[in-house]
Amino acid sequence: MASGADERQLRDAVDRALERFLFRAEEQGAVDAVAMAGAEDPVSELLLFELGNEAFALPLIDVRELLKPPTLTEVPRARRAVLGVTLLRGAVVPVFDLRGLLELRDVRPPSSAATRVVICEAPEGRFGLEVDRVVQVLRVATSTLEPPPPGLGREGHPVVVLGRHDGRLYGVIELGLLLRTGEL
Amino acid sequence: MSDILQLCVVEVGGQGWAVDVHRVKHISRPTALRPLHHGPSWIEGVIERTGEVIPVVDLRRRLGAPLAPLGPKSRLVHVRVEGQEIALLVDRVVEVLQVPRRAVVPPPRWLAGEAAPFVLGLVESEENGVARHRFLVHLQAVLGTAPTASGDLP
Repeated sequence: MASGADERQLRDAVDRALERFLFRAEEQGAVDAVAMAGAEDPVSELLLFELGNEAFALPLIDVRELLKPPTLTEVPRARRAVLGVTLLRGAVVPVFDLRGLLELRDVRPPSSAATRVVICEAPEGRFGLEVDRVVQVLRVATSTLEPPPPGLGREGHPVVVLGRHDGRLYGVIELGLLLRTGEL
Repeated sequence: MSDILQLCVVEVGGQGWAVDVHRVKHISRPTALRPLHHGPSWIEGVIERTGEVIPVVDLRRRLGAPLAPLGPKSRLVHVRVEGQEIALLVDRVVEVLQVPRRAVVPPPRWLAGEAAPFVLGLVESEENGVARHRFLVHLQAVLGTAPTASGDLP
């Protein structure tokens, strides 16, 4: 048996809830990111590669070489994603399992004829990333690379933008964030 | 605000849940998802629709309902919320229902259990002599963008 005041409070609570529940056209005010083709549209050159069924890319400017899987010396105490080290023109270069650095759930498959190690350069030095298959080099308008949908990006995760090629989505990796992931 | 609400009712784990029908952009059969690694755990993955990347939320998992295998009635209900489109995986789409505003009441906390943070309200109705209730989905909470109020159930 609600009194008048209780009834009013209840209706007010419901009104507030319905404010959130109901669709309002103003919510759609957010402008979809549209690639603005300008006279000077910066271009990114990316190396597109695959890990299992998923595609990823690295800025070509960070890539130094592509190798077939070299002989690796194991480093037992290194972090788990380290497959080993290799000697590259006199320098010791660590080679990582990229799946491990990206914290992907699937398991590293045995090497195939397509497996490659991408030698990259970052402020930390040179290092190699093992990938299942290198697809190609892409030249894309930087403005067409989209951040993950709002609310989905996780701070510090190395895949910072998404691109589209041949109907597939690929994640562009920022090397600076890649080496900081996972266990130390 | 209007006196009549138009609800799209879906079934999740045997319970009826409703969204404002004006939010529903599209309904489709579930298709293969692209996994999303850099997102919250309740985003199962993404699909593409008309060139847009659409996050997919398994509403059964999000609401703590049993996860039955996908069946012929499983659907992805694409809704607009907070300026973006997301796809909600549900066990089936039940109906579109019109209810008067006054049929909406605050939900008793005990009724929704684990799903309480995702319930904005309760719609009670009587159909063929049987009392039925459906929960109004708090989509902002599903997306994790609702401000958390103190005193929320864990």
